[in-house]
Amino acid sequence: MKALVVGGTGFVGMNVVRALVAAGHEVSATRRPHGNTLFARRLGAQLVHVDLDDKDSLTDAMRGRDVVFMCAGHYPRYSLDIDAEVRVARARVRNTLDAARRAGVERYVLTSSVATVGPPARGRRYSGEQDRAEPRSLRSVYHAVKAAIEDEAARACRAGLDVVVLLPTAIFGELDVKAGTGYLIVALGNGAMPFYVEGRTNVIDADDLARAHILAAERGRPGERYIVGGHNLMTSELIEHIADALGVAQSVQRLPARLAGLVATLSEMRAQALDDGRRPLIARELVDVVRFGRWVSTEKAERELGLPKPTPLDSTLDKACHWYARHRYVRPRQGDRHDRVHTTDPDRCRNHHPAYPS
Amino acid sequence: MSTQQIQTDVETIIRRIRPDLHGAIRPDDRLRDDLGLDSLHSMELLSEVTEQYEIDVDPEDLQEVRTVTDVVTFLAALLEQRS
Repeated sequence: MKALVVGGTGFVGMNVVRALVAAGHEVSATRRPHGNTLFARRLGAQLVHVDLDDKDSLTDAMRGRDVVFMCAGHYPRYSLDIDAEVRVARARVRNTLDAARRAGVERYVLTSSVATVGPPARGRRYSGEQDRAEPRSLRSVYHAVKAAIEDEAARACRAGLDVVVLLPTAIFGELDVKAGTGYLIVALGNGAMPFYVEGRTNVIDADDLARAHILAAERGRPGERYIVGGHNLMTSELIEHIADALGVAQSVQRLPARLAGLVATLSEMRAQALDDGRRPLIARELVDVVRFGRWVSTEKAERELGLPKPTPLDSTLDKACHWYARHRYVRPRQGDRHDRVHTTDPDRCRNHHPAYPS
Repeated sequence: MSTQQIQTDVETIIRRIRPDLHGAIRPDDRLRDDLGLDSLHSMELLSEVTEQYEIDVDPEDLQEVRTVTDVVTFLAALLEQRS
């Protein structure tokens, strides 16, 4: 296929580009006028300048492409003005959808988030695509933004565009240059994680997610949403596994979600007021994704897309930690654990709840 | 390409990345401690400047770059190799 990856210098976008190139597809990827392309320009895709606020530049980039992968997630820096952030996210996704229609793209794959999935209906342990997000979760900027972009995608689909939506869970892997989910690794590795919030989560390997994008382009049904996840576990378990992968002691204190939310909000207010380019102590988004975290079933993606069994959790974390160590975000682990990067040993994940009903 | 020109270009990009930076940028300024560039800012700086000079670099090669002079020396060496 001839593919365009919008957001081709971001974490998900770069992994999708890499998977597409490896599979022999013809790939171009969008980039901003400024920013870090050190990693993206080595992946084998042609980088094209686009402005997400400019439909014409988007249409030009999409012309002649069979599939558009919209991986340019809007990640608000702060949670303090939800309406403004939602407006920006909605407008940019709408621009890409309009451009795809104008350019005659055959399929548009939107990377959204499992944040738009709600708690499981009574009697079920795992959430599925049919479970609606709780209204209170939409008071979180991250959740509100994802719900809004899916709303735009659904509208474009009703107007005739072939759209498939992916709902990834927490993504770990290589090329997370800005340490999004990888913040957990970088912060733990540097002894800088202030606290954690206990809750349900699900982890997917970035390579698995990238392959899921290709499967969605090839096999997804128009208008459908697919949860793409890996391992269901508690955040405390995840932190233990990350600490183990890093070879550091796990000594992070648990904080109640309500208090953590307050700390994150105050921390954001302080960072916004200082505006010195430093991150808040902890992102509100990280607290919210745990507060509203779910264990999920990937049954639909397995059945309809052919989503394969997930990479073992420890292989994923080893790979991510190794990448961060190689690029000096964290100290290299002493010993040989990283020699096992990319191995698959199902027993190492035996304690996790599979993301598919067994 | 003169070292002075590289220095000027590097300074221009630093000021774009950190528009709040006031005062002169000295060659021995440390990117992090003196100019407040975190590791992501530093990568952005090196990304932009290597793009401007059309140099391909392995991000792993950039890890010893700590001061403005380090950046300039690193780039000058790559440009020298290319010519």
